Amino acid sequence: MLSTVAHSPPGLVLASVIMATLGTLGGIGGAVLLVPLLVLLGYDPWQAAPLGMLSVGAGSLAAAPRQLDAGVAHQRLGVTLEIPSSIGAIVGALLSGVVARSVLVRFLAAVALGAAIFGGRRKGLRNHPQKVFVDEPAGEWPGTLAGAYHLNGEVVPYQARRVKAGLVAMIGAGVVSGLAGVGGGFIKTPVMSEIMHVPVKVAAATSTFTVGITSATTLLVFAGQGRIDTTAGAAVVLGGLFGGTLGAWLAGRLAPTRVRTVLSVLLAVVAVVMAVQG
Amino acid sequence: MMSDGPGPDPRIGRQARLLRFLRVMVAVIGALAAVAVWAPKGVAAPTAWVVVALVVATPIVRVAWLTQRWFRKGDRRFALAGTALLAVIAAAFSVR
Repeated sequence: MLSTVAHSPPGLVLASVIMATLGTLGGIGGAVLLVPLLVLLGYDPWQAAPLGMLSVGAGSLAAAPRQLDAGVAHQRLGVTLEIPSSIGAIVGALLSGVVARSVLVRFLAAVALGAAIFGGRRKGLRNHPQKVFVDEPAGEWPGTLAGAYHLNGEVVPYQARRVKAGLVAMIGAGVVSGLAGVGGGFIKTPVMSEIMHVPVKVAAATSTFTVGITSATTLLVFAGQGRIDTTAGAAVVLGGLFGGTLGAWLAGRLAPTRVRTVLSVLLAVVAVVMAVQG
Repeated sequence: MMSDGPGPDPRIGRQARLLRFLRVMVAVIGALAAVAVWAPKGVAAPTAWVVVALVVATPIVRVAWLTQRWFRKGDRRFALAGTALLAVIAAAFSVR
């Protein structure tokens, strides 16, 4: 019964709305929930991965105008980090076409578990407001990987560090994206925040920008392999756009720590079920 | 005599065109996706194809727009990074 509903376009819209809302609320993106759910409902991982990437693309698109307007996404940093990430995504997408289903399901379970751990461990503020930058508009500083963003009416300047380490880590994030059909934001955001010392808010927005590009690159490979069901894809996109917007709206009204805890538990359960089924 | 003070920062509103483009794309893709889900099959199938194509094309257009802008502004390092990224995306188009 559930499987039949999940295979119909309205059912896919509903699943995508719920997963994108929850994923956006928890800051991990919708695909990391949607792809395992689709596999549990009977989709082959080979088919579910392109749908996941379309959900990622839609979520990135839904958030883009708001993040660009607020000056929180660092586009120079995003473009720089996306080069190795897209190369990794191409490798991952090519590998996903040749590895066995059981391996893919177990890999997805590991990805869901990784996202659960990340969601439960996210930290608070590292960079603090600086009075000297009081008139600085939010945004990136031309020619650099530095910038400033506004927090509670104050200005927080920042500078990306350890760029080489960040570039290497992005290859891994790309491979995971291409292989599993998830955005990889749960890897990219902590890499930027913990390794490169970019503020979490900027890291999350830049990550949202970059996963849209990863999604486009991966979908081009999937299209070449004839793996995209466009009708199901349009349903996922509609749900992703709506859920991404709803999740961002709700995020300002609910306690983020509680939402992340609930999501982490949910993801851990999904991971265990998939590992058993795989 | 009192000065009027400095004018607004010239960097404010510098990406207004890109912002407008992204807002239009979100609205267009959302509307087309709704048609693809609820319209009769003869209309839905080609519309769904267009939705997928637009979801893929929009971030690529954004990177291309940023790259040409950085070239024009003399920000060569990041213009080259944008060009390299576009080359990687083009490579994805040719692999199977």
